[in-house]
Amino acid sequence: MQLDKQRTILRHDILKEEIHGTVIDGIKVFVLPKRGFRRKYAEISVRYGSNDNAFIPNDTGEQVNVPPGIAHFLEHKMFEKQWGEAFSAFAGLGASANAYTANNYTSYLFWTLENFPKALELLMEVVFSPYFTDESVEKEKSIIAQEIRMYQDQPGSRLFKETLSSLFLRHPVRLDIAGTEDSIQQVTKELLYLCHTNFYCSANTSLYMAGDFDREEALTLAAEIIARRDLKPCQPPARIRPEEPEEVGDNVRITMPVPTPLLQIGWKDVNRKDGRELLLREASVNMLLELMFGRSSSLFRRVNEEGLADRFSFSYEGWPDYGFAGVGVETTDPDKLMGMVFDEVDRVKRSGVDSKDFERLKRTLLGRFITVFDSFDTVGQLQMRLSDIGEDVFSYGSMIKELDLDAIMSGLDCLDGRRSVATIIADDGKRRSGPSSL
Amino acid sequence: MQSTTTGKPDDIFKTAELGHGITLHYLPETKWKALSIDVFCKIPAMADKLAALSLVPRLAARGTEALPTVQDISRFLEDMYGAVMSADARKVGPIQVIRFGIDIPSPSHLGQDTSGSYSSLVSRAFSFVWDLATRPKLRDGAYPQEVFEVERDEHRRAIIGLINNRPYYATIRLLHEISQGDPRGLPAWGTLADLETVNSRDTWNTWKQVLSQCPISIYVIGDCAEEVVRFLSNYELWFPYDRSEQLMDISKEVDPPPVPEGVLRAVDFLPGEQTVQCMAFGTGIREGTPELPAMLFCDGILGGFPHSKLFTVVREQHGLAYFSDTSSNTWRGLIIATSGISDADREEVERLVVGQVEAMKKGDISDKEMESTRMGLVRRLMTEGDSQTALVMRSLSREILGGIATPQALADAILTVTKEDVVKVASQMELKAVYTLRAKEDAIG
Repeated sequence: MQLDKQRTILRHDILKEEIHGTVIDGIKVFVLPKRGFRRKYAEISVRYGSNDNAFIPNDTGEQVNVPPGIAHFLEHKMFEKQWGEAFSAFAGLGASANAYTANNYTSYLFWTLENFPKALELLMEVVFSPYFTDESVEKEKSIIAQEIRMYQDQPGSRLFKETLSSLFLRHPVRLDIAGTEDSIQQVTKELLYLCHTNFYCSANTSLYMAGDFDREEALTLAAEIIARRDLKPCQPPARIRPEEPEEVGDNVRITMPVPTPLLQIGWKDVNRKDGRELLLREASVNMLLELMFGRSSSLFRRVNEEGLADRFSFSYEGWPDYGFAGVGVETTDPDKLMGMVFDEVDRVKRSGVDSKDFERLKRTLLGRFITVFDSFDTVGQLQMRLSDIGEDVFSYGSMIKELDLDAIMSGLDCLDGRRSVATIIADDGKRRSGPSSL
Repeated sequence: MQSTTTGKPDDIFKTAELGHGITLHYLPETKWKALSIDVFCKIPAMADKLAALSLVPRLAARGTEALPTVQDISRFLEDMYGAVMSADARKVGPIQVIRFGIDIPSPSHLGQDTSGSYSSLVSRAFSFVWDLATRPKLRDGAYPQEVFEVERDEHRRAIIGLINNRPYYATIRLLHEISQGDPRGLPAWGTLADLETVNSRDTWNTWKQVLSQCPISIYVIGDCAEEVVRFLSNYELWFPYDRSEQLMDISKEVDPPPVPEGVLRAVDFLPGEQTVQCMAFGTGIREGTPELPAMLFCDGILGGFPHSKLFTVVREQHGLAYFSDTSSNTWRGLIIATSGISDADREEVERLVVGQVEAMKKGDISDKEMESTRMGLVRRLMTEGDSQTALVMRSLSREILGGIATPQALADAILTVTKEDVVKVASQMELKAVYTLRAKEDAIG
């Protein structure tokens, strides 16, 4: 067992919150003690997601291309063990387990009232002890096919995916996290082992624990359990990312039986950032979007009063290798609203934003930062992600306080109409024997 | 306003009667970073008024006397450190519940950022919520016509748009079919047809009339909750009509609509990739009956968890679904199984689900299933104590439907359930309705 002597203690005096961090045998470990809460929570996050479809293993030095959707497929299969099925084993301990795959991460988690040490040991086994058979891999294909179909039937999910597919011409973020029904047919037991061996290594993994427990006991427990895994030191492989051009694809129109059309506009951010600058970029563009499309904005007032829509959704997502902003809305007139959105961006570029609006929204961000600590999982996910770019949850809070108008305005270059696409989902208007009225 | 603290020993909330059918439930607790305030107006479902009343929270969110536009309200909330407003209509059993609420970051965590004292923030938050309920923006004694029309349109679109979430929509349609037009079974928005008949003046008149007669529960939970209590001790709860001496009786009609005889079947078609099948099993067990914990076991063993029979059999053994699970409707005494499947597998999945219910009836329940379900149910109940919303909703539900008071009390009851208790309830399970939202037109007729 190698316990990093350097203990990081992140503390926020007003919030009365502390996160203790250390490195145990290469795994970054974080503990958030939460006094008075019943639930004990743990999450292991592997820095491996649906974007990692091409890589160079350290042992061969030769590029490997794997089928889209394999990271998600692997997540499904990690719960199957030689001795049985891990979900039931968690249930036998009184724990509820889950997992999810994103573009850049795969996470495994549980929460429980009791048996936390045993459940944590089981979680480590789920993540680090793969067991695949040809038969179980084949069977999983039909289950994942149903999952893909479920998301295909969700207009909001479809809208977002189609926008990314058109916004990015080569970067794998353009692909569905779950892959396609065709691509998952190419997944084999051998490919799953290959991906696991390369990416599920200690130096590519974080563990987060939160709940009403003593932090020293939690860290000691984690150290003991990690030591029992006898993990060999390893480094993840080099990830291959195609060069993404600045250009974007065409606007997209999709026919689906939706009662009201849906519009999504996406902007590709070509201004690459990392570390604190990336964090600042994310906060700046998100605040800009709030200023332009939030419920207190003048655009929202007009849109609402005209009965075009009753809410916008918007967000910016930035990573060292790609970034994008998006605005989505359900509206009776998507073409008109598209024009209004672009006009609003132009107006802000010409006229700037009101300093009073800016100060008010800073207070909003500060309030959201405070209340996020009522959600264990969100804090953990944020902390694990931020630690990978050398930041932490509390530095995000302090950065909000330091935000100024210049920083906000510098985010406007992200919203360049030449690097935007729009997706519209609408019904084809054909009469059909639809569902009975409510 | 006069207040009397009663402090029932079986409730985790402290209570104070504020008079005229208004009860304050409060829970001071420092572990949360947010302070949550909700006003619930509890109204016996009146078929001819559901649609109008369901519009009220939407109209309130469009403006109050003090904050007459959406922009004014939004700026107020932003000034309150990103406070989040709630205004919605729901059903708890047969009762229509109109909610107005606000969640604010707890003032004690704002440090030097606080503009003004804690009590100032708290009083502004409560006054805002009360204004939402009682002082909406009006013009000539009615909601402004243009606002009313826009909100009616948005409301209609939101209701029709439920179909964008197919499993949820399928569950609503299933309950709709089972209710067979009984007003107690109508959803919180009534019917779309009724929505077309309401107008701005009648809606306001109906609301202020209802507001003078309906029982009201105020919930305050979180750090600084006692600040709200102190504030309320000197606050005059204003109403557009004086509170009536004759309050509505919400305990009179709590029975659900009768479940029809036989197995009711309904099918709708909506083009897509996946068919959703919903199956309702009647149990005869309802909130407040002693067998309720055993019914929760039946739900949990059949489909409430990843270790349950449906997950194991339909998904893992047969690979027919990504999701195949159950939920319980304790007011109606139903366990509802929902599966997302290929259209061609409808009969096979129905056979498997019914087969698993039959297995439970025969006592095919392992000790592991019993214990895993027991721990899962207890975990689910006890972790409600970590969520302000879950605690408030359980308490509100108990006010209306009765039943066991606290998550702890129900968890204690769960601990005593035996396999025989579960089999006894399972033996009463009877398939009552199957609703299918089919994705493939070519497979029909």
